[in-house]
Amino acid sequence: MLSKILISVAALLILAGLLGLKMKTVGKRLLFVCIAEVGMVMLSVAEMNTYGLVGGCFQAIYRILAIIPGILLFRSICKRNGITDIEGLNGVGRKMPYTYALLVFLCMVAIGIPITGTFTGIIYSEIGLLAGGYGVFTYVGLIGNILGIVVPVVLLFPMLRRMYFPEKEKDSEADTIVHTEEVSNTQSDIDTEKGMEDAGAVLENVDHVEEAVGISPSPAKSLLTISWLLAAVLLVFSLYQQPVLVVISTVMQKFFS
Amino acid sequence: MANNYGVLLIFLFPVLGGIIGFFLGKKDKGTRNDWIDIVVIVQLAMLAYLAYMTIGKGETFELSLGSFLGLGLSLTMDVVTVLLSALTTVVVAIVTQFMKESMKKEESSNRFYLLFMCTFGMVLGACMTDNLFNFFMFITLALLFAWPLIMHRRDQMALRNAGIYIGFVIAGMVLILTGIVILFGYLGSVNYSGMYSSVMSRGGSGALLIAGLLVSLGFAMTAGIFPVQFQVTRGCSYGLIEISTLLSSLVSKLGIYGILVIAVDLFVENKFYGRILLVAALMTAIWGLLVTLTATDIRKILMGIDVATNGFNLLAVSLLVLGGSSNQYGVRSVVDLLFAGALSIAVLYMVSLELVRRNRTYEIKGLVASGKGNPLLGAATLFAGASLAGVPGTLGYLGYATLFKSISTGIGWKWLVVVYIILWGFLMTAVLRIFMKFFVSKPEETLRILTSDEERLVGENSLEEKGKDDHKAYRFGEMLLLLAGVVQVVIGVIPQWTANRKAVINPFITFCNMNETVHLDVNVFSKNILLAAGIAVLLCAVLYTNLVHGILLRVIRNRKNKKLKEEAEQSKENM
Repeated sequence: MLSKILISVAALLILAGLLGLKMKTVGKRLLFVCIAEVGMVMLSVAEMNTYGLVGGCFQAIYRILAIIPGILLFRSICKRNGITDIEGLNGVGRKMPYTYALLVFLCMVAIGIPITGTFTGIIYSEIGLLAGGYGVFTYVGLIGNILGIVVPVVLLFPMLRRMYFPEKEKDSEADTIVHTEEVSNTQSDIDTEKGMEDAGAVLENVDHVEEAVGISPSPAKSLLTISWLLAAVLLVFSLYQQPVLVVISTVMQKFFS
Repeated sequence: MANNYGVLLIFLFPVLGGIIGFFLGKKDKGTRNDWIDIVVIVQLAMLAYLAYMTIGKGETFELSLGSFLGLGLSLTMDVVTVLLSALTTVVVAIVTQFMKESMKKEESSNRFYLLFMCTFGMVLGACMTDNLFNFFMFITLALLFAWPLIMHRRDQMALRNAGIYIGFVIAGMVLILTGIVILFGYLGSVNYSGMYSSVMSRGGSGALLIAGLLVSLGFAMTAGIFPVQFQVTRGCSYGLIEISTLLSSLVSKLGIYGILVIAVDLFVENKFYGRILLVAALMTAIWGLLVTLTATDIRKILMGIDVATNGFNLLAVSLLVLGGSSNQYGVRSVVDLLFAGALSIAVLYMVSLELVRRNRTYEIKGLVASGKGNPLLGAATLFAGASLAGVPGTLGYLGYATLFKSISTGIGWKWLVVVYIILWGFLMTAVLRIFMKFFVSKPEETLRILTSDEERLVGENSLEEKGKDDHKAYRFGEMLLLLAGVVQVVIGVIPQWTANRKAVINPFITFCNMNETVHLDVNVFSKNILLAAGIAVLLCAVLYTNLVHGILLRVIRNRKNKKLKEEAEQSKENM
């Protein structure tokens, strides 16, 4: 009975995440992403069988490791650029492409696209639901799981889209192309003169382009370093999830024995 | 069988190549283009070697990593997967040759190349796997990588339609995922052969039907099947032609491939499922033809043709289910149509890309007669169009002929024979329209009574810019297009040595769980089939002269135009 109640509550939490669509500010929208993600972890744990618990642990680990640096990065970008609402994010990613790439990766892990550990957690959760025999609540849980994938997507994708693909202004379209080409040409000339050959020069190159276009303050270096490290950890343990599974199984065995 | 880690290289190499190309392109775009050429050539060489080993020597290469990516990774290189991978690589090789020139002036071309190569790698992965779960994983990643490519130019229409595209991608993927989990729970395996043997031993059930329908619906979205076609229609109609080609020629065909897997592994001789597919196939073909015949934007015209050919493909799949395990015609038609459709549509897209880049318009009016004076491009379009339309002596004809045989002898429904011939005639008309507009029609005078913004744009841009582009820039790409057409003709002329060779077709028959021992020597030039093709050609001629060419409409327009000219001359004289 407890499982059924918890599954319903978790499904409601995930559903509540949809309210984030009405929010215009970045912070509030991220808050609703968090609510939906808590709902997903809770839904999985609420199944109270092996599959559900493993799925819940998987999701908790990967989602927490992805969403916390993600939120901090968003917060830092917004604070340093004076952005409050979503429209303010327009084009921010183009000015800091590597930070944007990092943010995209973290958001993908938080959403749970295939090959991430979050996705494995979702699969375990769905199998747990089907194996649990919760009657009608199986369908409630399945719908909750489906919404749990959809809600973070509909909340995060529009923000990520705006950051890198803001709508081009019709009048300035031709000018923009010419301008960008000029900037890149100038930069390539500078590169040739300097004879930069090492890989670090590529990053420097990007920084110069950022300056030429009009740079926005990037997040703090310490935050970026930690985020990159976490992203690397997430990538490695998404490709090879066996150690995570072993750890979860060991902890669960000790906990339940 | 021992794991062969070299298999991993086949789909990872393009991704790694794309990443290296991204950094090379930061310094010099020419170097990046050369590097991408090297990647594609090496990829083709690897696949040629694998084709020799699998088709020639009958070997199979496998890789199964149980603990990789959480739920395992399983890849197989046999005749079926090698041929599908080779088709994918050939299409990408053609597109990248044209991209060299077309992406020159494009903003952020490095990023485009990177994501393009990643999409290519994921499509290869989807072709290589023998597991529904891995197939889902690769196809999802391919569709996600394609999303920023659709938005590349960031204009309002592209962004709006990319939003719809991603909405349908997510919906489709959620449906497939739910279906796969139910299948896994019921069957205990989502390996292709494992699913089949499990269904054979356990029999069907309600849960199986629901799961199969969910997965099929998800793949239908990827394939642009009516009425859930929006992922293809929105994705292929507003972005750059380069990505539209990839989505139409490869990704949408993967959707058909996914439905085929479900049909032959889960729904063997399931009449209910077969009829659903049949209705969807006919609706899709009709809808695609309607779109292509009424559209004026070349991207929409080609997208319509792609959807229509997918309809024919799905029709072949539905007959495979309805016809039973002895319906080998069904297998042959699916394979031939899949290959002919993918290659020919890629060729047509690339021809359009070249003409669009030269004329700076997507409108068919602005492209009229734009290919005249380029015999190489004309010949390539002729061969590809002939194959796509099913003209005798081409690969496409083999597909349409066996599909006709499948309907007339495998199923024996006369009404379907009639509907099929009519649809075939309409498809021929749609393809003929493109060829005629590009290479035969005379450019119309600008009609004052029809003046619109588009015509103004055509008048201002295309005529001024015509001939400014370097004609030699696309030469190698054009030769590749011609080669793709010639290969299709060769296959169509000597099918017994190519498409119908036992070493080639038998693995497909086994893949579709058909009775391999009943090997039919199909005579595609039998009286019945040639009669059906002849009727379709006649229908095409009638439809083209009346519907597309619009003789009646032309007469009315010309009369009105004459009147307007006379009035203008009179007013000039009066002045």
